[in-house]
Amino acid sequence: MNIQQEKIKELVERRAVAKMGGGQKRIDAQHSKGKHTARERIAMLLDEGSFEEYDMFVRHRCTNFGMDKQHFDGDGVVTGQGTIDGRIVYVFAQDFTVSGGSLSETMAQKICKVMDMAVKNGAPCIGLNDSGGARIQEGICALAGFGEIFQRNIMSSGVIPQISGIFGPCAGGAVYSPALTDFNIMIKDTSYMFLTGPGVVKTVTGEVVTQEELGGASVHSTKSGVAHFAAENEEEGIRIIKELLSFIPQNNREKAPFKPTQDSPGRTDDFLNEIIPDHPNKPYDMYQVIGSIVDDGAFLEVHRSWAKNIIIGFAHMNGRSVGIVANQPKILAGVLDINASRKAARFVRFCDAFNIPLVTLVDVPGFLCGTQQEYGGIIVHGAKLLYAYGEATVPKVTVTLRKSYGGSHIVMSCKQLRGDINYAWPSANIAVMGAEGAVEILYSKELKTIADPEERARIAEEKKKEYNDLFCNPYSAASYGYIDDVIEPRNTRFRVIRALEQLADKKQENPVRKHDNLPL
Amino acid sequence: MFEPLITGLPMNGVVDKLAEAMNLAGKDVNAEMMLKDPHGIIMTITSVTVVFLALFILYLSYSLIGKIVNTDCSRICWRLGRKKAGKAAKEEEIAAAISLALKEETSGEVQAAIAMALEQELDEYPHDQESYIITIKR
Repeated sequence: MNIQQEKIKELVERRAVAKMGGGQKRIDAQHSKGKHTARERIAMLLDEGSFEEYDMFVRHRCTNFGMDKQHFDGDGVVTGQGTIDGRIVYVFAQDFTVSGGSLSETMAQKICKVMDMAVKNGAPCIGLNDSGGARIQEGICALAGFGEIFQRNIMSSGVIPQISGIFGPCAGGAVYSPALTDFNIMIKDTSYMFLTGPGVVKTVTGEVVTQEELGGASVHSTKSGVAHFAAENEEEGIRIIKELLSFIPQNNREKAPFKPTQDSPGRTDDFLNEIIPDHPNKPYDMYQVIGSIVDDGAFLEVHRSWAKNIIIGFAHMNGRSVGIVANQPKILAGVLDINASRKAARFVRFCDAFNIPLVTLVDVPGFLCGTQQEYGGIIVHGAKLLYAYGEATVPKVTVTLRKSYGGSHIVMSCKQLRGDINYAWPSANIAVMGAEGAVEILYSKELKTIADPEERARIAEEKKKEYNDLFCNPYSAASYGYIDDVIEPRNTRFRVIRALEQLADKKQENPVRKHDNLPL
Repeated sequence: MFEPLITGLPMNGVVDKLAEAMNLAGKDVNAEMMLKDPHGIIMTITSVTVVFLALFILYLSYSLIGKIVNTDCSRICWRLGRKKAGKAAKEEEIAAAISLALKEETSGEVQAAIAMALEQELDEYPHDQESYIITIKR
């Protein structure tokens, strides 16, 4: 064997060692917890044979606490580029088998390199987190590393899609990177996110709580809203990432990929003509409306288990990717509250940032009242959604199905917030408030003077009917041009698709400014 | 003279009983047949006619069975129901047009259009008319 061949042999051997990460024993330990290694996750995520790894031979430079005697090629993270369904993505996956996936200065440099490449080349950046946190032995250098990553998350926000898969622990300062990204996917029972762990919590507050209870997938997908998706296992988590990418473009200068469909744009659904109950307070399932109008009934819901009174998610309509925002009358009658406003606002802004048209289905009786909401700042949080819709320059098509009262009517992409096309079903009630409340206010003095309760009730019913005839219909709003057309429910799919087609090349600008002052 | 074709059977008794039934008792049926149809032409024509008539009746009955089996019962019910509503002539025209169209080579779009038109025509409730066609080309 000549020298050249020996060098090649050395390369092959080094690669093999690097690919073992922390060693077979630690790989087995990872598997025993029901978790995959970093390379296995990347292999599941990317198209077969597409992954090109960078910085495989990077080593840390720390000499503190005997660290100079421990070196692992790659230093606990696998970084590189590959494709998902033929589309380039940049990925980093923390390797828990190497120093518990703890973040060092060199690990941060590797991650920052792929993030920079992703921005330069206009491709999504996907992070698969599985880390014990900062590498304590590195001291301030580990914190600096985090800072570099967070700065790039900020600069990339709204430029390229950023997706975080939380496949293991993500604690302390490390949680801010996923928090800054567009979507977080957590895995049930094996991943958790919190700023301070159960040990510190017990010391400081006396609370006894487990990791799962403090920051598990179920907590963050149902209570805090930090996690957008909670997957049953890593395979499902990977599948969600891939499916999510199919709806969003490579960067903010492109449009989302077109998905051909056999589902005819002219497909009608008579079921929609009957879905609205006769009684105005009776609920119906908005999922059925969404399923009826989107291509092949396929809808990827985001934040499924949090703030269920509003539904957000991605779908295709005539092959075009759209963001759907819809009130859910089955939950809290579809009112807007703090969490629903926050949930929808961030989604609307994401869609606006990445050129994804918005389809809004409205059945909202108002904002949730009460001291809890008021003390929690419903005013500011409701304003977030209002701001998001008003700022959005993507095509906005709104369909009012039933109620749309008061401030919530304005917030839900009304005409005055630069709604492009606003439709209403014949069952729509667009008014300041419902008849019940209006009559109580308008005729309170008159009704109080009537002693006979039966007579009072009869007069009240008369006034309600008068109010309903005058306001609680779509034609009043249509007469002012605040509704572009009243449509038959079964034609909703066709009308929305046609509206989206005509708005496909919409161009709208906002005034030039350094940045806005969104009510945070 | 017609000789008994089947030998070994008491044909004389059978012929007598038949003649009696046909009120030909006392008459020589065979002689009379010889006089009226010496060459057997009428007999031949009669027998062939009977056979073909029977075959034709069989053909009609099998055709009818085939039509009954292949006909969509819901369409029959629909036709009956509509007849009760007094729209018989119109729907028979539509049904005839559909069957004619479907017998020909038609594309999926044509069949969908026919189905949609039929639905619109037959539906009890009014509908907001739409073109259902996206004409925008990009």
